[in-house]
Amino acid sequence: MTETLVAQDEIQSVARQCLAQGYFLESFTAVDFAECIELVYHFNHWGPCQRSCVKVLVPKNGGSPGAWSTPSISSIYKSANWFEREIHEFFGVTFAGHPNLKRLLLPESSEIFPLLKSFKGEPKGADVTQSLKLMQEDTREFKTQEAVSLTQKNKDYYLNLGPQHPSTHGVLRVLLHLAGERVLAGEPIIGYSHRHHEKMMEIQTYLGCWPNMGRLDYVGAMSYNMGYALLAEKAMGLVPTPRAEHIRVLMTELNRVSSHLLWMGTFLLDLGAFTPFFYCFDDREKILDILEMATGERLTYDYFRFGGVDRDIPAEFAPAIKDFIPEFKKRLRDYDKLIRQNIIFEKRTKGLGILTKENALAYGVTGPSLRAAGVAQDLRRDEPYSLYPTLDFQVPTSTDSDAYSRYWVRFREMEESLKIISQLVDKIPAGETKLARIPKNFPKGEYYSACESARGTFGMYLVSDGTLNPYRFHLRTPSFSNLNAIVDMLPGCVVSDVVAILGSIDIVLPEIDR
Amino acid sequence: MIFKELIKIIIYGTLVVLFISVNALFLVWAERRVSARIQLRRGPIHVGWQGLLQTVADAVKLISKELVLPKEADRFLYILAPMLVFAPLLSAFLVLPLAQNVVIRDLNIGFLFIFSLTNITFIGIFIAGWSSNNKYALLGSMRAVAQNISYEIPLLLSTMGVVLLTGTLKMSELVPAQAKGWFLFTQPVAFLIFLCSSLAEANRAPFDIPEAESELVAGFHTEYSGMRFALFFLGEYTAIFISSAIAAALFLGGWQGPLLPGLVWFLIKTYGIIFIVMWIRWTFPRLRSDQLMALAWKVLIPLAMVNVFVTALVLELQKILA
Amino acid sequence: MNYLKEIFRGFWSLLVGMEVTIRYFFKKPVTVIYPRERLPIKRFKGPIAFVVDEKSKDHLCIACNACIKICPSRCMSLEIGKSAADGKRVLTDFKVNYMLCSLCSLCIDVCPTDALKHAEGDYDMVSLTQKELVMDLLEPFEKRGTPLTKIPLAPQTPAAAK
Repeated sequence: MTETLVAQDEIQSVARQCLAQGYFLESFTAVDFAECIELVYHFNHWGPCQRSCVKVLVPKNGGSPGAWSTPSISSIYKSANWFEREIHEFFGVTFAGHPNLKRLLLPESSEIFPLLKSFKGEPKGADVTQSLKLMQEDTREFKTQEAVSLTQKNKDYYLNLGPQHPSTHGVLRVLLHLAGERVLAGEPIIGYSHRHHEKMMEIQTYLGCWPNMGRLDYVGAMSYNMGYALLAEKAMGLVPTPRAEHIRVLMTELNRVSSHLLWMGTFLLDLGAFTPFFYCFDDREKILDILEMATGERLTYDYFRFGGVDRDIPAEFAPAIKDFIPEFKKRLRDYDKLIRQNIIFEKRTKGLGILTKENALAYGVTGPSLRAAGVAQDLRRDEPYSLYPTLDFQVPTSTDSDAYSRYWVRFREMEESLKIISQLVDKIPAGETKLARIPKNFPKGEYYSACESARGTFGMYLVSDGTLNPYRFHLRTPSFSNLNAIVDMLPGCVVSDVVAILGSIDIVLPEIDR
Repeated sequence: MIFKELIKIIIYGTLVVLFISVNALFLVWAERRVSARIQLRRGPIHVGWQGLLQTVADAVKLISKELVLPKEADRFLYILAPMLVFAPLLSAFLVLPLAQNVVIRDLNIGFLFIFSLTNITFIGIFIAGWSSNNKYALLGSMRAVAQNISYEIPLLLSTMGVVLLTGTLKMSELVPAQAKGWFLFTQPVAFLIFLCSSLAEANRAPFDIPEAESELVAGFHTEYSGMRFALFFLGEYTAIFISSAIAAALFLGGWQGPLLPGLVWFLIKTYGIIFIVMWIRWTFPRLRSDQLMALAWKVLIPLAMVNVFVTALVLELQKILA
Repeated sequence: MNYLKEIFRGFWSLLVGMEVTIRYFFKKPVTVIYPRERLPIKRFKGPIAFVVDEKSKDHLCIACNACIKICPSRCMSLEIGKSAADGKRVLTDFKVNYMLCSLCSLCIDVCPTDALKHAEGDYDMVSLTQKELVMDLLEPFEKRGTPLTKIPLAPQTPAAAK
C-alpha cells in the first residue's frame, strides 16, 4: 500500500487522476489530531489489489468545528458525497463545493461533533428532554418536505417510502419524487438505526470491540469477525492456528450462504412471492443450527478471537455440514425452478436497476452488485487472506448488471461457497484453536485491512496510539456505498421497481448506519 | 303476494349473508392452511378443531377494534367505500345455479348480471383509496381502476365461446348443456383466460397490485381498520368464491356429477378451483402494473378474440357439414 | 409464431413453479409447535453463571476484577469483603446485569481460575421486571445450603465495606 500526503488544494486533481486510472474510493475518513484533522482516502483498484492511501491535513488554526474547510471531491467521486457528509457531521470539517452538506446519520438538528477528541459530552441517549427536543425539530423538518398535498393540482408529488415500510429492509427512508407512478428522482435517507459503533469502540479495549463486530451486519456477522481478526493479526503479527483458520473459513462461508439465503427470500418478498422466503428460511435455519453448534449463538456472532476462535467445534459439526450439503443442493434446484425460470420473475427483474461500470466505479460499489456488472472483483481472490489462496473456487460474474444478474450472481456464489465448504469440511486439522498468549493492545501505528463480506468489501481503518483503546476506528461498510448507488438507478422506474431495486442490491441497514 | 315475496327476499337474503360470512371465514382458514402447507408450516391449529375457529377469533378481534377515521379523510366517502365494496357481491348470489332448480332468480341475462353488478366494487375500491387521503392508498386505487377496466374485456370475451356453444346466457341452461362434456375440454383456452382474468378482477396474487403490501403497504385499504377493513377482506374472499363458482358452472359442468347431490358437486368444483387460485397465489411473484396491462391487452384479449373466432368458425362449419 | 412461443414458454414456466409448490404442499411441515415441542439446544450461550467446583461445591472466584475490567458493556459488578475466619478477602456480592450483557464471553476467556461459564439452561428466559434480570451469581450457592454458602463476613464497618 502506497501512502502519499498531498496538499489541501491538490486533492481534487489527485482524485481526478485516480478516477482516470480506474481507482475507486474505497474508504474515506478522518482522524482528529491536536493541530489538524487528517483526512484519509483509500483508493483501490478493481482486479488485483493495489490500494493507495492519500492523506490531506486540514489545519485547525485555532478555529472552532465547522470553520475548518477543505475542497470537496464529491463532484469527482459520487461516493464521496456521503463520506464527506459523515465527516462533516462527526468532525465539523466543511467541504467547499459539496452540493448538500447536511447531517447524514445524526438528526438534522444536532449540534455535536462526536468524533472530535474535544467532545466530552456524555452520550445523549439518557437525556429525555434533549431527545424529545431533537425529535420535535425533526418533525418540523419533515413537514416542510410534505408540503405538497394530494389536493394540489401538481402532477408531481413526494412520497416517503419508509422509514416504516414493509420492504425497506429495516429503517430506511427513500424520499421519492414521483409523477403518477413514475419516479423522477429518489434519495435514500439513512441514520435511523445509528448507534455510533466507531465512537463506542474508541472507549473500548481492543478485545472489547468484538461484540460490536457481530452487531454491524447481523446477517453476515462472521465476515465482520473475520475482518477484525485479520486486522488484529496484521497489526500484532500473529499467526492463527491451522485448526482455527479452517474453522474460520468454514464459518464465514456458511454464514455467507445464510446471508444470501436471507437476501433471496426478502428479495422475492419484495417482488411479491411469499413462498421462497419460507424455503430460504428453512435452509437458513439449518445453517444457523450448525453455526449454533459451534458458537452458541444464532445471529450476532462474536466467535473469532485474536489468533483463533472462541471455542472448539463439537464432534458433530462436520457430519452436520456433510448432511446439509446434498440436501441444500437439491433445494437449490427447486429455487431455480421456482424463481429464476419463472417468467414473472424474469420480466420483473431483467433490465431493471442497471448499474453501469462508470457508476459502479464512481460510487465505489463492491461485492455481488459489482460482480453482476461484469467486474470479477472479489477480495478473497484479489487480496488473498486466510485459507482462500489454497482453495478452488470461482468468482461468478454476470454482464447485464441488472437485478436479474445480481440474483444470478448471488445464487452462484452460494454454490461456490458450498464448494469451499465441502473442500474444507474433511480437512479440519486437529490442534489448538487459540493462541496461548496474545498481546493486549495494538502496536502504535495505522492499519488498514479489508475482507470480502457477503455484501462487498468490508474495510477497517485503525489508528492506534499504543494505549489500551483504539484512537480511531473507522469501518468501511459495503452497503454504505452500494446503497448510495441507487440514486442513479431510480429515475425512470415505477414505484414497484423501487422496492425491487432496493431488494436487489442487498442492504443491511444497521451496517449502513453503524 | 307482495308479502310472500318479501318473506322470500328476507329468507334468501339472510341465507346469502350467512353463507357469505361462513364461507369467507372458512376460506380465510383454508387460505392460511394451504399457504402454510406450501411453505412447510402448519398454519392455525390451536383454536377449535384443526384451527377452524381461528378466523372466528380473528373476526371477533376485528369487530372489537377501534374504527379509525383519519383526520384528513373524506368522512362520508370513507365510510361508504367498504359497504360499496361488499354489498354488490351479495347480488351475485341471485343467479348462481347452486344445484338443479336451485337458483334464486333465473335471469335470462345470467352471468352478465353478475359481472355488471360486481364491478361496482371497483368504484368502492377507488372511493376507498381516494377518500383515505393517503398517497399509498391513492396509488393502489388508481392501479385497481386501470386493472379492472383492462381485465373486464378478456373476462367477458372468454365466456363468449361458451355462450356461442350454448346460445344462452341463462345459468340454468348453461349447466345442463355440459351433460355430455364439460366446456373445459372444448374451450380450454377460454377457461385459462377466464381464470387469469378473474384472478385479476378479484385482486388476487399475482395480480394483487392494488394492495401490493411490499410496495404500497396495504394499497387502497391502508387507512382502514376494524370491521371496515374486515368488509374489504370479506369482499375479497366472496369475490373469489363467486368467480370460482362461475368458472365451475361455465366450464366444469356446475352441479352435475354422479352419486352426490348437486349442491355438493357444485361446492366441490368451486372449492377445487379456489384451491388452484390459492396455489397460484402462493407460488408466483407479483406482476408490475404496466406488465399487467400488457398481459391483458397483448396476450389475453387477442387470444380470447381468436378463441371466439375459432369457436364461431367451427360451429358454422359443423352447420354446413350437417 | 415467436409471440405464441413466448406465451407458451411463460405458461410452461408457471407450471414448473406450481409443480414445486405442490410438491412442498405434501411434505411434512418443518415448524415445531413451540411451547409443546422443543428443539434440543446443542450449545447455548446463556447468562453468565459461576462454575460449581466439584470438590468444594463452591465457586472459584477470587475477586480479581479481571472480568469487570474487560466487560465491554460494563454489566458486571462485584464486592469484596473480609472473611471473619481468616481475614482473607472473599467475594460478598457478584451481580451481572443481563439487560446490558452482550454475551461476548470475554469475561469467561479472561478469568484466571475459570470460574465463569455460560449457564446451560433454557433458552426461553423471560422476566416481568427489570430487577429479575439483574442476576445475583452467588444466589444458588446460598440456596443450596452447602457449608460454604454463607460467606462468613467480618463485622461490617464502613471502611471494610469499601
